[in-house]
Amino acid sequence: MTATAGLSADIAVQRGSFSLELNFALAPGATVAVLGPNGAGKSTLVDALAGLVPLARGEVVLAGRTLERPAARVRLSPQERGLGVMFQGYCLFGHMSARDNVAYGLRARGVARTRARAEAQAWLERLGVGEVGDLRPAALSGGQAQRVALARAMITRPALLLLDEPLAALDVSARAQARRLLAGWLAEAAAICVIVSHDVRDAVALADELLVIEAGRLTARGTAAELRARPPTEYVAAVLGES
Amino acid sequence: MSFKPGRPGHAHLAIGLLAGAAVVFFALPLLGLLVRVAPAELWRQLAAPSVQAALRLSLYVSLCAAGLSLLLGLPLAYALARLPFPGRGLARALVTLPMVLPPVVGGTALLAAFGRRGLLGGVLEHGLGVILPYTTGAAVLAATFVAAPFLVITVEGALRGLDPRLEQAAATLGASRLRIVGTVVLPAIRPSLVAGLALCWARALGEFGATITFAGNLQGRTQTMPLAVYEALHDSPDGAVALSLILLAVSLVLLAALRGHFFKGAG
Repeated sequence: MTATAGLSADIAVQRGSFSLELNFALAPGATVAVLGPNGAGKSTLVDALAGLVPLARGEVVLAGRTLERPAARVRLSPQERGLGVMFQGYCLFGHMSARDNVAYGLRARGVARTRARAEAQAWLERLGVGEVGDLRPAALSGGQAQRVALARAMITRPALLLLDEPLAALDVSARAQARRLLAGWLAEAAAICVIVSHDVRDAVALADELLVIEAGRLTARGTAAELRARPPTEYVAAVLGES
Repeated sequence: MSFKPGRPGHAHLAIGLLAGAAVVFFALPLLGLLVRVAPAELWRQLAAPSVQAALRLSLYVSLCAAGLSLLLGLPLAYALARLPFPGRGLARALVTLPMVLPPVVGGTALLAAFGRRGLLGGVLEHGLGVILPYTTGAAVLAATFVAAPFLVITVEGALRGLDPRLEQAAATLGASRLRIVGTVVLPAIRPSLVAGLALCWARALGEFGATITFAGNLQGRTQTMPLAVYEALHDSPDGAVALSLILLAVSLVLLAALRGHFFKGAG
């Protein structure tokens, strides 16, 4: 692995009888979607990159910095990695206002409360939800909560953004617009974006390239057109045939 | 077989009668306390120095026990809920034991551990010059022994119900372990924490068996309100009723204050 600027990931994770083993590199600024059926290992991939589950073998290097390499006993904590993670279901802190949720990463880095809140409010406004700053997560609509979670993940300007099912919690009517807006915000971010989705329409709309995971292995990689023209597995043929 | 109309009505009637009987069963003794004592007697008892000493001591001992339970019980509840360590099931069983143990057995066990001839008694006496039994400190330990499990169990339950992804989210945002506990875990379980603390404190306030066994019944040092009630029952039953009423009032006032806090936390 010689990639110095982007992300290079050689990942082997063992969870009980399930194993995830895959290897990929992403260029700086790339946006990819990780597509796969339920239980294929998509969320485990997010956890492994974020440092929430340990690698059994392999190596993760981001912008020249080794995040984890078991062979050399290197394993940065989630805190030290400084990634932006948008969790499935958002995982907003229920006892804090939306603004304090967004400000959390700055506060953890020692930014003073007033400055962190002002910056959080600016992010909420940038994502079109400036009016929800004082509300608790329970009072937010699905679309508002999604933007608060995105702002919380992006406010620290991470080099790598991991989004686990960013659109899954939205109902059909809100989804098309949310997809379009999200694609725009991600394009503006200077980060490498890895978007996990089980929905092929979301994956194709949000990402330049698709990585397909089935049963813990990378089974296909390419643009939607490439994979549609020559689908390497039945799953790929089936899901891209629908889109 | 077909359902006969009117049957649910009969069932509801039976439930209602039994529930009504339960309310009477719980309310009647309290009513008995209220009608047995004249207000003048209540004031006379309240003015007695021995009663004031017992009341002060009860508040002091029960609040110390609640504080000690918080100090030791919170880390314990966290470890039981979050850290997989060998013997965790055994540790949980041991911590819960005082809830079902007769308090007098607890007091005897405390003597066996911290008494002058107990497991640690020699070390405490000759090493540190501390003789625990029959001191206010012993009363605090006895109350903590029986009351802390209520806090630990309540908080552990709340921690188990808390989505671990919340803590993971905070970690990816750069928050240290300590910051996560302070800003995510404790605020999220605050209603349970307050409820557990109230239960723990109430149990400590009412503690009798372990206290009289391990700490004795010394006026001004270990004679808490329940012990004063017990002693008064022999000499002046009316005094015992008055003291009980005072204890009841203190419990109600402090619990009401805590419950106000509890509802604010939940809202």
